[in-house]
Amino acid sequence: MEHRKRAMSAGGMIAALAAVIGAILGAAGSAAAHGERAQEPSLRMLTVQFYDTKWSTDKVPVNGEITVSGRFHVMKNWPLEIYEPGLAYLNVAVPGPVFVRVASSIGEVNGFASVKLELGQEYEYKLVLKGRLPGRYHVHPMLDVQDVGPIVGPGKWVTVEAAPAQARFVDPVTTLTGHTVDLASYGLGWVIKYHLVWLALGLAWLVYWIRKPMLMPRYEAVQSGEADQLITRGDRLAALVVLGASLMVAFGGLAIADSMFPLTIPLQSDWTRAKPLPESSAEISVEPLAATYLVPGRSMQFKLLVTNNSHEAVKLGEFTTANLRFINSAVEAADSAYPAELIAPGGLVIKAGGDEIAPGQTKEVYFEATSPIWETDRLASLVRDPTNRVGGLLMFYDSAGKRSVVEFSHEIIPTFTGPLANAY
Amino acid sequence: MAAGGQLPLRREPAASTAEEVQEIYRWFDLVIAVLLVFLFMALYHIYTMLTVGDWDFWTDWKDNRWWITLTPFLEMPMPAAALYIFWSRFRLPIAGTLLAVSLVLATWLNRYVNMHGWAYFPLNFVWPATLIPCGIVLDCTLALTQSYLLTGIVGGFAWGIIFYLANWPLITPFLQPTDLHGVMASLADLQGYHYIRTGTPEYLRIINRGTLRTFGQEPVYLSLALAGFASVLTYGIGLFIGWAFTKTQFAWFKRV
Amino acid sequence: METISFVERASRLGQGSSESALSDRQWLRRWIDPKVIVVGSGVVALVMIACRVYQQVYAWTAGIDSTSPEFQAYWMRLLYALFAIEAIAAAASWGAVWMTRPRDFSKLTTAEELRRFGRFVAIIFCYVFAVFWAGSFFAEQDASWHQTVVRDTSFTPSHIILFYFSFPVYIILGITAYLYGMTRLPRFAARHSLPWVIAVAGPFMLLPVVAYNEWAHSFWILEERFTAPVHYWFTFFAWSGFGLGGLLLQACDYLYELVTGKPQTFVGTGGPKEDPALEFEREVA
Repeated sequence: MEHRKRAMSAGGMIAALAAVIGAILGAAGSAAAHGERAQEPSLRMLTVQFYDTKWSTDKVPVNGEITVSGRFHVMKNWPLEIYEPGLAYLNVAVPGPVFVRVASSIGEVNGFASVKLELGQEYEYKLVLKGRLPGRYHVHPMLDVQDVGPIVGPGKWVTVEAAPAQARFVDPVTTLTGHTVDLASYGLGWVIKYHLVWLALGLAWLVYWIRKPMLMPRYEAVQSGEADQLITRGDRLAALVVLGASLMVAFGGLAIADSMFPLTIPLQSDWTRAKPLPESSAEISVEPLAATYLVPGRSMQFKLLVTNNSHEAVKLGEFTTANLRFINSAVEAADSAYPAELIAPGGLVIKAGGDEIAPGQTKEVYFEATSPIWETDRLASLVRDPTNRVGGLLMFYDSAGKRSVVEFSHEIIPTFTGPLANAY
Repeated sequence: MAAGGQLPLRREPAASTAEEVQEIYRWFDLVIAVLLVFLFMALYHIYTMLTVGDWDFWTDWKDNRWWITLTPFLEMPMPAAALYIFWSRFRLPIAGTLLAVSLVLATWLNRYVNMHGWAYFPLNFVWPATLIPCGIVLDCTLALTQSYLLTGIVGGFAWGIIFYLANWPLITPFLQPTDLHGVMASLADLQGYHYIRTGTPEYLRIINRGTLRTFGQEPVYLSLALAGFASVLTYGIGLFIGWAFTKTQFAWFKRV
Repeated sequence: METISFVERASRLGQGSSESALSDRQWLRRWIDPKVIVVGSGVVALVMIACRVYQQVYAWTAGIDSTSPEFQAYWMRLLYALFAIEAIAAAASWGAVWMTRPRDFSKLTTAEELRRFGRFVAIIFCYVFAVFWAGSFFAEQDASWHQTVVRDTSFTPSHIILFYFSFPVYIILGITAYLYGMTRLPRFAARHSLPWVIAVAGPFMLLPVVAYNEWAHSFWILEERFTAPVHYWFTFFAWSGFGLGGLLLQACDYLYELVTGKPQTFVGTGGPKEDPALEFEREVA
């Protein structure tokens, strides 16, 4: 049971009630996804591809830090039915602010900014999160893309532990004026007191009127033409007093705040361009020829024309799309730190065209990416969508281990009876 | 005595003494008063959250251009409509304050129980603005001038101005500068950055991203001028809606 | 003493009337039945708090991936159960009000009419209380959820309670109140009051707006900005609550006429010479 314990004072009553009812009703399951499975496969497979995602740890204490880092590729062949990316913002898909983001970067730009991304480019990102509420959460890097929606990277379980000595979350920040404040609670007392003053003034005015005969007697007086007698000298005096008090509080409050905080800045905004990684894939080009999805075998099958313009022979080691990784185990060892439910070791099998592409060679390669994760991650459901196109990244390795990342995309036809190989 | 006294009795009156009349009326007053608080908690709150809600939810939206301009003038029509009904038929100058108090109760309830208790945002990030000073200014102007026109011009303009005066002290402590790894950010910006909102990325914020410095190099004055004038305008719109609803008093029809 | 004059005037209106046939007049002090208010609003509050507690327990643990089996178990089943409860509640309350309606208005005494009018106001109170949960409490809660998670279905833990439960609850109560007035009070039986129709039908229209909202969110509004134009129809129909303002004026006239036995005159506000309701309500007697 992924029951979040809460170190917060608020909602205490609700939390207590919830705990009681939760205990009565039994355990709820735990959600491993953050809604990305409901997004159409074309969005997930053809826009932004996360790869090399690393989580520095899977267990942090409250106030402890975890770093999530990696790269993503913005597809050059961005689908035209999806708006081209405007601004993008590096985000985290976690169940609410159970972590706080203390630092981040995207393409060498501070992650505080919203950035413009270029099609066909690779970017590096990094997120430093600090544990806030104890519990076990699925942590995904995520890219919010304007007019496109949230594109969620792979998720991994991370536990925030309530270390007994240090269970209280603190969020210290030092201002440029040299004061250190705890952002978790800073300023709340002032806000509440100030609100209470206004509430008292408002209630005073309302109570003044509610004490008197209110609706019916006044309505009767108005209807019989005696409306003008209804506002008395006393009423006008009361209005003057309340009005005066309100103006005093308003101007006084402003003066007090100004004297307490003489140095303020407006809200800051930083929209800028992220810097992509140097291009690495020009040496290998891929021209997709055919793609099919074999429904009974849960296998996507691809026929590609690969040209190797580098000086080294290369091998196809991995096909990754929508955070799923199909590994050619003859070339690449499975990444044991990657979430097991998103990886298919041995899931990439080269059926024809050989394993190796020599320098200068152009070759037809036919491979299969086979795994039930096509179904469990709801990518196979694309046959019910208006866009039947698949895409992803291919990772080629030379003998020295140098990697080339190449994107491709192609229309796909489902096969309900036999593999593409029959026709090949 | 009203002319009605000469007309034939409709039927046997339900009350037999003056005390009974008063009791019946008083009970009606009290029940309706409570009903009105819940009604305006619902109507004014949903209206507010869908017109200026994002500025009200988060400190990192509370800027010196949009927040202090849009909130007062967009939130004016509903109190103005209620003001017309309460003043024209009851001579009660309470609509502005009643709606503002209802709203602030509704928003605080939500921020505490839901934004904080459910979505786990710290309260100092999600506190609401207050319209109570605006409501008081409007009501008191009406009580003093007893004129819709003067209330609109003086009270309406003051409504737009005092929103800033009364709410700016709330955001001031959060506008101190910090260094976020090489980028200057206010504490409010930092709250938005630290406390992760998965569905609301930074670029959705509608905040001051101006390019020209005018009006004494201070966007606040421009915002105040527009807030005041626009509030006068939307007061008129609201007043008209209130008038239209009082006209439904005699609108009975036979078939739906 | 201007303040006193209208009070005194109001007091005088009751004098001189014949001795009422009523022996027990204690109920007049609380003629809007507090029991209906307390029980009705209490049930609404309890049900809504229970929903909120359910969200606290199962929203984060089972409610963030609509494709997961636990979502089906804890949220979709809840949705179907709520639909069933709403159908039963609607049939029961509308049926009860309709089946027990009096057929004959001719022998209706003023005291009984006042008593019914009080019950009518009490049901409207419960209706407004339910509108508060929908329009304020769960509506803003929806922001806290959708600005915090990735939207992946129309049936999210906040939508299930907001759109498919709290909305139907106030719709059921609104129509119950409407039916009660239509079957118990002569003037509401003889005619439909425009503001009262607006006050029931307008908030009802929020439900069709949900369809538009979800349609839009499914493909061109992917992020959650609460002030987005796609939400403006909710704002538009929120104004229909002001229909209760028009109804309040009608209620004041009605109450005056019931209590004093005199027709409302509208001298001060330039209305008709006599309350038109007095004329047409005789049709049903």
